[in-house]
Amino acid sequence: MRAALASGTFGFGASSLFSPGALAATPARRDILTGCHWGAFRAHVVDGRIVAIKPWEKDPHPSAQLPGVLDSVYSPTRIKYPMVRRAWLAHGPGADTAGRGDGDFVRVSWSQALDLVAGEIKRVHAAHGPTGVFAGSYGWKSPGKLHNCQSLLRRLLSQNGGFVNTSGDYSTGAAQVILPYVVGSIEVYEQPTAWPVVAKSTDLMVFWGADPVNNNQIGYLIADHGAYPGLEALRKAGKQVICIDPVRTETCTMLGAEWIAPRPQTDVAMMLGIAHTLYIEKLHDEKFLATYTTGFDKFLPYLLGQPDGTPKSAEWAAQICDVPAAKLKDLARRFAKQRTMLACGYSLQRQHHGEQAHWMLITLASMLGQIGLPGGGYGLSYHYASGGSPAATGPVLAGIADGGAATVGADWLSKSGSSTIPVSRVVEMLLNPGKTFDFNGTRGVYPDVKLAYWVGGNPFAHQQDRNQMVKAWQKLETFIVHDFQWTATARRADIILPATTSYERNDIEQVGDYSLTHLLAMKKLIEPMFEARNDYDIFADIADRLGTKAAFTQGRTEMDWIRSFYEAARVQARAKSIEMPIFDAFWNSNDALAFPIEAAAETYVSHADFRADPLLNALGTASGRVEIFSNVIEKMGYDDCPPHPTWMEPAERLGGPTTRYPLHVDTSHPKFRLHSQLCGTSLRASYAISGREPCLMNPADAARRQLVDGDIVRVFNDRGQILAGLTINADIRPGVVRINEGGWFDPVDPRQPGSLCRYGDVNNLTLAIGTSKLAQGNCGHTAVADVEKYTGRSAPVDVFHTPNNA
Amino acid sequence: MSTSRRSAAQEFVDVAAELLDWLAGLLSAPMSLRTVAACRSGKGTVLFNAIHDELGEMPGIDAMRLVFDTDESDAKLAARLSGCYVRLFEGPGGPETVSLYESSYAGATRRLHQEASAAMAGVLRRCDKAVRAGVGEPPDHLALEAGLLATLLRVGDEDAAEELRRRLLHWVPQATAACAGVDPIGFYRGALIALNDMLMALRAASTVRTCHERPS
Repeated sequence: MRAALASGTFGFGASSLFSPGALAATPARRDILTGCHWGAFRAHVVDGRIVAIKPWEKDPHPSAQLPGVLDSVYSPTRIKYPMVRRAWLAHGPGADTAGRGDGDFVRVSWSQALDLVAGEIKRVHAAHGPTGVFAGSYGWKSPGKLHNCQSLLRRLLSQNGGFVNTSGDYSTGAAQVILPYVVGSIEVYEQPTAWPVVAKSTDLMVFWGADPVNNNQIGYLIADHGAYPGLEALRKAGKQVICIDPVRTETCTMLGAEWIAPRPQTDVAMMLGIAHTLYIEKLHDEKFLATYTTGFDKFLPYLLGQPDGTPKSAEWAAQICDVPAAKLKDLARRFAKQRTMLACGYSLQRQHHGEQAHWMLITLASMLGQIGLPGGGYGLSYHYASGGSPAATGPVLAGIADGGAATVGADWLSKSGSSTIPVSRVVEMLLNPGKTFDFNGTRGVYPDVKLAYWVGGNPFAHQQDRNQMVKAWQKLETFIVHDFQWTATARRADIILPATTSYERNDIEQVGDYSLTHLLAMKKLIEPMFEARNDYDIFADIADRLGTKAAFTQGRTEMDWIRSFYEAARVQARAKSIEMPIFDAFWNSNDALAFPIEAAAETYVSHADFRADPLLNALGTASGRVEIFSNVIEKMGYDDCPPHPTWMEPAERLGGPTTRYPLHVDTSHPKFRLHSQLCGTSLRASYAISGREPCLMNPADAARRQLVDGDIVRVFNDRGQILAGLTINADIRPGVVRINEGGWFDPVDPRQPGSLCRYGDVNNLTLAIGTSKLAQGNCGHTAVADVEKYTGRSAPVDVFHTPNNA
Repeated sequence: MSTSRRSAAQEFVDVAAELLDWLAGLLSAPMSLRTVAACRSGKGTVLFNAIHDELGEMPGIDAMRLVFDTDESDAKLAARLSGCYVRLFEGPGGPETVSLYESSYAGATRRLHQEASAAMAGVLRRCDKAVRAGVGEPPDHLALEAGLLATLLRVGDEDAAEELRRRLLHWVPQATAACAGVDPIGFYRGALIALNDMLMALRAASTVRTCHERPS
């Protein structure tokens, strides 16, 4: 027996997995500074293992989400090896597509996996052309200028036959399309008036559908958390704050703010009611409107009800938004009599006809006439990545190019690809190849996609109407995914390639999306876990198989690229009379490279230059002014996006005329995760109720349904059903339940659309239509449903891979 | 203690080392088609008979052997076993996933590569061993712990072997129990049972040898 086993005929012995000669090695201990979406942090690494992390000493407000990092790296849900879905491997593309998600994978070598991927790209290109490949891969990935997996994917496919790309994003899909017509730029990712100015000069701060205390925990780059000192200064200054939100938010509580809770999705009507009061009571700023805006004269008849016989009065608005008319009038007077900042969240535009909310808010701000004054006007990013945090004078770090045309703003807005669809239309595209669609004055045709390639994202979390999506995904012949964790999306892959986390590779990034205060060396903390590889190396090897490796890598290594980004930044810095250290000194310093924040940044007032000279500093609109009426939009002739801000009933809403379900579902951002990132970590234990995503409900709604705290409830509508854990308190208005977005999709039967989601992915309930023909943004906050106590069969949560020993 | 008894005990340890090494190898990765074919061949029959002859009744080995006794082709069985391995041990099985890492059973959290992994790295270092380059697993993977035990048994490092055997017995029974009801084929549960039984049996052998070495 010994001889037989030792022969290797029956498999190798595990003792062959060792090599000799470890005595000389001593366990190394290092403290390394790096960063992530939740901020910069120092990792204590012992013998190749991260044993602790602590926030960077210069972080003014470390995120409660940061501890999730350790769980991510060492999660039991790590994808360890390349794998291929058995049916796909055995029968080829298109085999048993309904079986995606049932977990039947075959482990393969990297070499085989990469051959399969390269072969599939070639096959689809040959048979269907570039529009057969979808690489509009979307998601929050990880920060870093080189290992930007989405840019890398597009780079590969740009150099190898082309692909279908996407435009826009899920965060601000509606606003970023309409605002260039209104104020000449997308604004949603631009610096608002700086926090120190707000703390000093604003008398009344209005957070409208914005929760900066909760949402500024994260940054698309390395979070600087610069908003928190601003919020604290506002609190200490004792300024009036109003939070308009169906939920008493973290911000509302922290600032001791007045809470006004309208019916969700009725913000435009509420704003119109306030605007009507301003006009009727002559509180509006006629001079500002005449000097800095166009089209108020065309909007006014609508406001007064001349064309439709319905004045948009406070009383009219109160019927819709469920805020008393007296309160709306009071708001109009308070807004007008003092320096008021209208801080608007993105949530208002992630709903049916969402374009109108930001347009109407800017119209309201225009009527108040405080745009461009210190502490007045409006701000669209106080809640996101610490917008308003004073910006440093320094370079803007470039990253690896995706082969497309660069655009102003975030890297994900780059324009590349053979064909483009609005990002949230991916499911509509799959279900309707060849169908025409309207978008921003153009008409496109949905391509017939056969292969989807996804990196750094979890569409089975962020896309609306999950069950429609499950059906649509069955039309794909092949679905390729890179990830480090078995997310709901990874489970549905045909080919899954294990990627490193950003802690297992070297990169470089800036701190502060708006402030850009520091450059940070994101040094590799540990060696790649299991067989995980860097996206860059994966794509380089695929490019090699496609004959384009030289073009993909340009002959550079990881460190060559990082050095090149740094050197380009040095050149920029010199132009600003800033001398950065040589690269090696920066890289080896184990500290972030700081840039100065000049006094002008502390006193920055958005649109002050426009106000000072509207001719010299004209906006980028057709008229150069704020456009309350847009001739360009009028020419598009869209029935769902009129040429001035307009209240239109959404497809469904709380109290809506045709709405069948009694509860609005608020799908706001979670406190302890970034969308779906970190849902698969131990942070979940801090918020899950009975093992499920929490469902917050007002006591009156709970009593009506005889529900108690901790109940497992079924939340359902015509589109889907999920389980959730009930938590009851009066911090949410009656008629609304809150289930945060980003819970991992966990269907009882992954083959069956409509199957009960056991954990609580709220996008089972949301509506997948576009906001309008103009922007085709997502309607992630448009959902009504009902809630009942769950009395069905035991449904243990499955999506979080938990060893069975528990 | 007679010399023959000592020799029998040593012979058992030597056999156990080979069997442990083989079982650990089977638990390190999905089986190749070649290995499956070999196990089902005449040579495989000889092997399983030899195990039975030398070690007696082993329910785990019997369960493994039973899986090979099927009409399906080698390729089909290998594919089934491979899928079973991936689903059982590599994540897609959700809560039906069985962790083969000591860290999952030994720490306050379920994170991988925790204190147990660091401790095993220390054990490896003391044994002048390192996980071979290209092997992606942390040192607290069952295959590596059991593989090292086999090595220690072979070289006669009894103290280190005993320490490692005890270490394995702290968590392998849990992993074995976790396999119950979730291994649809029964092969890997069988392998774990067999490995667990060998660890237990080594205790008996160790006792025999300790008695022998004690001054009378």
